[in-house]
Amino acid sequence: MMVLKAMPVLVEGMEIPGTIVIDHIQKQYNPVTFDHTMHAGLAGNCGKCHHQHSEKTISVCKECHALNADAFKASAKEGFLPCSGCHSDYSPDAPGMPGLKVAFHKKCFECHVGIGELGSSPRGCAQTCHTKK
Amino acid sequence: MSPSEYSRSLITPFNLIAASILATSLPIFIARYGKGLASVLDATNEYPWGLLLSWGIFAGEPLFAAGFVVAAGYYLFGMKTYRPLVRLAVLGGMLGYAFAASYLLIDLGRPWRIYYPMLINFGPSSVLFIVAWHVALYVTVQLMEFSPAILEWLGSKRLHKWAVSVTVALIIGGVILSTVHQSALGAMYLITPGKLHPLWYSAHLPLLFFSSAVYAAMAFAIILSFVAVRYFRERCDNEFISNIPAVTLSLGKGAAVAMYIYFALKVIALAQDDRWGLLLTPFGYWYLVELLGFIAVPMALFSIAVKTENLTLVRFASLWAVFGIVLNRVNVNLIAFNWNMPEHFERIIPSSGEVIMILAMVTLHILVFRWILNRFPVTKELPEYKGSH
Amino acid sequence: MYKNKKGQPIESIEQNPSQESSRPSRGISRRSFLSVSMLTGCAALGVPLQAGALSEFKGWPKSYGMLTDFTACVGCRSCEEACNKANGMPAPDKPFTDDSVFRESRWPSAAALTVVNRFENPKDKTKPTYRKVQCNHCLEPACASACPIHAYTKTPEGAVIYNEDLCFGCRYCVIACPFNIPGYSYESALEPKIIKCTLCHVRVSKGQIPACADACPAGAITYGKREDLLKIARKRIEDNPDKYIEHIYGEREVGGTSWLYISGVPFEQLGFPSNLPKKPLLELTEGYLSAVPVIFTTFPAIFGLVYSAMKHHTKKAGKEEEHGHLKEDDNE
Repeated sequence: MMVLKAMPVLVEGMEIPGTIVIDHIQKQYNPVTFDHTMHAGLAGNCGKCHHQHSEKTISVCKECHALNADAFKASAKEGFLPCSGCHSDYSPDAPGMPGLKVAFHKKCFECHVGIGELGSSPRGCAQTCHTKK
Repeated sequence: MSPSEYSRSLITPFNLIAASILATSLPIFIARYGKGLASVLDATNEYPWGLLLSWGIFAGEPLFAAGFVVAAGYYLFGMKTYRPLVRLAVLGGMLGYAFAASYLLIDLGRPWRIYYPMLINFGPSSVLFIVAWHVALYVTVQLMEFSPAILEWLGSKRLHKWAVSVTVALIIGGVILSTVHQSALGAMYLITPGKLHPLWYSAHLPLLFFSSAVYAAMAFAIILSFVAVRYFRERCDNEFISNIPAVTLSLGKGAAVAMYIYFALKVIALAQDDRWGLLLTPFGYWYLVELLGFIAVPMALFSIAVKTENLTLVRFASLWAVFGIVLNRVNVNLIAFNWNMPEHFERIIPSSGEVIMILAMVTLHILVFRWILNRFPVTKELPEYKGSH
Repeated sequence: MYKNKKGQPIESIEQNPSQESSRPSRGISRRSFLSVSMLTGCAALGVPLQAGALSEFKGWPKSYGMLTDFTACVGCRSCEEACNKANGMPAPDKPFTDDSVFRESRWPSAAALTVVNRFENPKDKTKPTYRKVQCNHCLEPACASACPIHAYTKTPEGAVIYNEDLCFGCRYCVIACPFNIPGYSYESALEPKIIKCTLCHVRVSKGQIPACADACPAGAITYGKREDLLKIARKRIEDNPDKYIEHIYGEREVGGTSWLYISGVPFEQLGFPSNLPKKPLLELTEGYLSAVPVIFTTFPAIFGLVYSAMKHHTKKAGKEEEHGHLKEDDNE
């Protein structure tokens, strides 16, 4: 997959990242370089992925804002949080709130299932993102 | 007989066949215990039980109820005709139950733990717990019932007198224990409504199993008496031989009545659950084969045979009825169980190891039965104990 | 003149009431009565009574469960791999990234506590549906009620666990399970046992969540309180009526299971049994089990009566015969 090193751009007065390197699980998989600009363009609407205030959110305000008070302040200024801003470790007492891993995958799978072998073979995982070390 | 004469007398065609069956089975049994059940059975998640248990326990137990049916008839209902047959029936029953336990010792995953439900831990919400306890108690009761025969052989008069005096209590105990475990064998399948074909599944399974056990027992008793009088004539006394026709006809009458009741219960079970539509499916046809061919037909034959006092026909009907019982149990355990699995009919075919083990057990059973009949006063009375039981 | 059995004259029948050598003269003898009662008493003690068999069990209200959303599963088999590793099982012949296993229908066995099977999706042929199969941890498990040795326990946390130190291998639990789940290690000679999903009972007691739920990247498996999961499932179905079949499998089947399923494809097509009753299976055996002590208490009385009535009848018939016979003798 060719990765174009996109530059941060301005959208509606806010600076959005060009590419994001996701390397939480460096031990098992190589880091994934996520082309944010391309995906933002494909999505059209920021809220399609940054759904913290969409009607699909089933959490009440404090469930996310209590997690990270600074993020609340930051979000008031910047508008959108990264996934890890709300999603971290999964707790079985809040089953409606996926952990970070599920948040990533569930969101990306909305479009990516069906592309390549993702969804029809475990090989699809490596094809899409997870190149093993 | 001298030892050499005795060993020469053992060489008969039947003994040779028996010996070869037992010899063939030896490596199978060694594999079962040495390498695990997988080496001899084809058991899986969907089919954990096979022909071994279906034949050895589910089909065998109703037949071996012959002991309690004849004993109850004589001791509790005062049917004097059965007196000469009591010991033989009790022997047949007792030995049968001992062998049923042996089938368990083969099939259980850890047979050395067979006593666990009696002593180690109880699972009283389980129907199998009921079966285990009642069979164990019943075997004990049967041994005590049979003890007069053993004590006569040993020559112990005082113990013999005591053993006879508790007979009636033991018989009532036997009736209770038999009623419960025969019905419990059917009740075991109450918990499988999704897996047992609706034609064979019924809330009345316990009652159906019990009532079929009654006529199976009578039919088996008829067959036992025939075997004794035909193949062991020299071991029978005149009282035994002369009473056989009356015994056979009386049992035949009882079997006919029991079969009428069973047939009616089966039809009621169909009606109550409104299963008529299912009779027109392939499984329905098979059900009709069982109901009409192996219950209605022997039932009719018994009626005719008893009316015309035809001993041969009674015996023939008994064989047919016994076959019907085996068929019904095999249907419930194997053919109608998990009937909607893919490749069902291939998967229920027993493995060769299973078949050989069953043949070996049947052979052993016949040999032990013959050994006891040839040595104990079963079909005759020893003169010093005459009239005492 | 009357004569007794030995032909000796007696003055009246009352002087020699006993006509048989060793039989009791009246109905049921004291000895028989005592032995019947003792036997009944011992037998009744020996059969544990069904304490509260007819009372209802309200269940463990705060128990946990799993929600499996088949529309989210992508068939990556991470759950299978995590389960295999968490239970220390040997690695399978084909690696977990192999998709050729999907060509045949697999089932949990002694070698794998959970498997994922692939099905064609009638709504979209490019996106197959996957079904994860494992023990459903029923709220009132048939396996636990069927076990004669009480080797199964339904824990308050939700898991149905098995104790191999008690099991003697009867496999009645395998017969009873409506989902055909328990596997048995038939290939072991000395230590065969039941093998099935444990809802990672050990991990959960250490504060972790089951390995499969932890591993699933797609959010297809969610571990939480059963009552919470039911709410989530209902909301998902309500918000996406075109995406899901309007049914939560496991909500009421066989009295409810800890494992709940929602799917875009009808459940029968995925191999779920559709003919299961809504009530726990053990309720089907309660009627019979409660009849057993009744048989023990009533039969001795019934058959004792039958016996004494029979004896009385025989006695009467014997006396009448004797009278008739002796009268004839007398008239000779």
